[in-house]
Amino acid sequence: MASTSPIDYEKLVQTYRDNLEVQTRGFSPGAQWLEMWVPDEDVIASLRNLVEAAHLAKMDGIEIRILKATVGNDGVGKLHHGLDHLGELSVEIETSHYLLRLRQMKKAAQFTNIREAYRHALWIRSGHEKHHKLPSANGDTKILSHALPGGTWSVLVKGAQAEVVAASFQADKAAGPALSAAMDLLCEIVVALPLLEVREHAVIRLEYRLRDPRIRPNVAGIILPRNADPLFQKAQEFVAGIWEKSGLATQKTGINFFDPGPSEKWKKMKPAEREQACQKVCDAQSEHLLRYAGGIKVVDAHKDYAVTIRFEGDAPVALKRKATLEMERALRNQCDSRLEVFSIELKDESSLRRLK
Amino acid sequence: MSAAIEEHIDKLILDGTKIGWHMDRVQAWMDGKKVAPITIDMALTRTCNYGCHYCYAMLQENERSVINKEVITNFLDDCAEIGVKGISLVSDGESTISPVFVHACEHGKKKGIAMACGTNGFVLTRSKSEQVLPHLTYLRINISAGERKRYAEIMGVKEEWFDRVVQNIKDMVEIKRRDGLSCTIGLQMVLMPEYADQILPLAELGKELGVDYLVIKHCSDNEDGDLGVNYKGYTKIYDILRAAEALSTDTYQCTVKWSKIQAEGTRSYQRCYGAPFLLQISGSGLVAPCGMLFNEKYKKFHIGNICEERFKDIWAGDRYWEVMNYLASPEFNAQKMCGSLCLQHKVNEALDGLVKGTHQLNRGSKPPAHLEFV
Repeated sequence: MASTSPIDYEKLVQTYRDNLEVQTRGFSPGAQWLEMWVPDEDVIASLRNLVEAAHLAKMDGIEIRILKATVGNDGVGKLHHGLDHLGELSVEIETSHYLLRLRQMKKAAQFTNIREAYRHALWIRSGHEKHHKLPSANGDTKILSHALPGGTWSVLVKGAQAEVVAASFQADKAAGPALSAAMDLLCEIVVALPLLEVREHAVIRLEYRLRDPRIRPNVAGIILPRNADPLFQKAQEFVAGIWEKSGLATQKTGINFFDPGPSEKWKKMKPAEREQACQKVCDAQSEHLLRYAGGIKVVDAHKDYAVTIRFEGDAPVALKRKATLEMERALRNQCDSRLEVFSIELKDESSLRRLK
Repeated sequence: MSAAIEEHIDKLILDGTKIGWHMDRVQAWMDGKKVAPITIDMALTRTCNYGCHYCYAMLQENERSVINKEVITNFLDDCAEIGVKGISLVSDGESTISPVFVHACEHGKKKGIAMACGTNGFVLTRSKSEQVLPHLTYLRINISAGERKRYAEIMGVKEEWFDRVVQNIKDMVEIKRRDGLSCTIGLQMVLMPEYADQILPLAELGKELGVDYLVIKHCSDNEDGDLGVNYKGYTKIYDILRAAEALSTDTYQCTVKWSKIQAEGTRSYQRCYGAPFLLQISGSGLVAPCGMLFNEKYKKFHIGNICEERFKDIWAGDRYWEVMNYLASPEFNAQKMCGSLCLQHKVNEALDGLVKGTHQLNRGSKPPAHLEFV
């Protein structure tokens, strides 16, 4: 069953309200599948309720036409933020309306047992898993495998540090789509990492990669794999199993100093080129972060791991603090994933305290 | 080693962490709940009347605000409300020169918070000590030399100031004994390898003055090494350090922070989990997870300012947890991003081991002294 023509959201809400006022028994907002739906003052919550009702009626897709004014500012962003994890969403911008098309709702619904912040990334990956099989081991490499209910995780490692060359996950019948998708991403994450780093930080990386930053996490305090979702505990069990089998657990492995560092491409660029690339990202972000253009200047990028920025204009200090962290995320996404963002250093002008 | 010394060392953990004695809060943290800091390390001002050559505060400059009586009163009220257990007035300024110093000690104690202070001790005259010692859990004098000439050189002051400080310490010890106060009085030497000639004179002086302990610690440096600390240089003075420790008696504990000195500035962990338990606040009122991140350079970590906003609101706010979560995420690597051997180092080590499942949190059979200072 699928919705044939777009639902007129405002009309639907109006019908609901009208019925609420005149009907005593047998209340319904209209079509049969809408019986489960209750609108909400919050438009996003209201749309989510609508999608849930459609899903319960075994529909796989839905189209909704909604006034831009109903959604409010940053409508497209707000709609994606609120509905992305419910299916494959496209938002068409019309003169006064948005036309929402949500597809693959059944597939997305398979992830409802996973906490919301991780659903979207998991269902996007689900069905597209690539890491099913490992290359054969040769003289320099060996395969380590660990089986648990849900599947078998295997890694091909080489050298004394047991650096991961490749990884695979073979799901069994007990594996749900979420575990398969998560383990597939874990296979990707661990490549080129020493096994000690895998053991210490792979699941933290997995959780972070899957987390949707637009969604408020279920955890109020510090997010750790153990409190983020049971899925990560399962992933950690696979990692622990491989670690045990590697034999490294009984050896003195020393301190893990692994850090991928900046990419070769970034390191090879001249400081002026790096500054230019960073400035471009800053210019693109200023309006969004500070609410005015040209407010973030790159001072220098002569160190290949660092960018120093300076704020211009009168944005409040709290906004600048937040913007610095946001800026770092943008620069890591668009320039180099290991960039650290610094602001201009302030020197101590005390006449007593002296630097050497 | 006599049983009495073992007892003394057991009571005063000077080279370790007491986080294992706060399992209720650690469990809440692991469950993802918002936990209040156990300890806050802060200053009441950024200013200092000394000019110590090793001073890390020179690297911590940030936009200044004044912590006045209203600000500190509200702050202490908020700390008590959310469950902060101890506040140490140490951090990046000399708190005793703030006009609100005595009030802070009194009011904090009145609100049920354990209060402590790290100071150069210069303005803590007998009358001032009479006022504050009853309210303090510990008072630690920063003194990096045992001889007046070297004191003046290392701490950037006149030689006479050494005499003043020594007299002040004598008075503190006398007041403590006279009134039977529980306040622990100690000395701290921040040691650069080039101050090695002062280790034994200071250890002797501490014994003579009758303080409870002398702790000798490494000098922290920032990630660029601006203070020029030669961490390899410590290995050459291990024998002198051991000789100083041997001066310990039943009532005087001389302790070297071996774990940090021997670490030579390295960290075994990459995530910083300690900041929510051991928070730092600058003498400007700036709330940041760590003192090493006070400088404006680290604006991305700056959370708020108690001179502008109530601390309980800062703590409950999104920004606080955004920054704390950043430190716990793969976005952050303490081995690359931080200076050496921060205040949270031992807590970080313990919690990192706990998260990785490689270590349990250790605790002895008897609760140590100063549990509120993690």
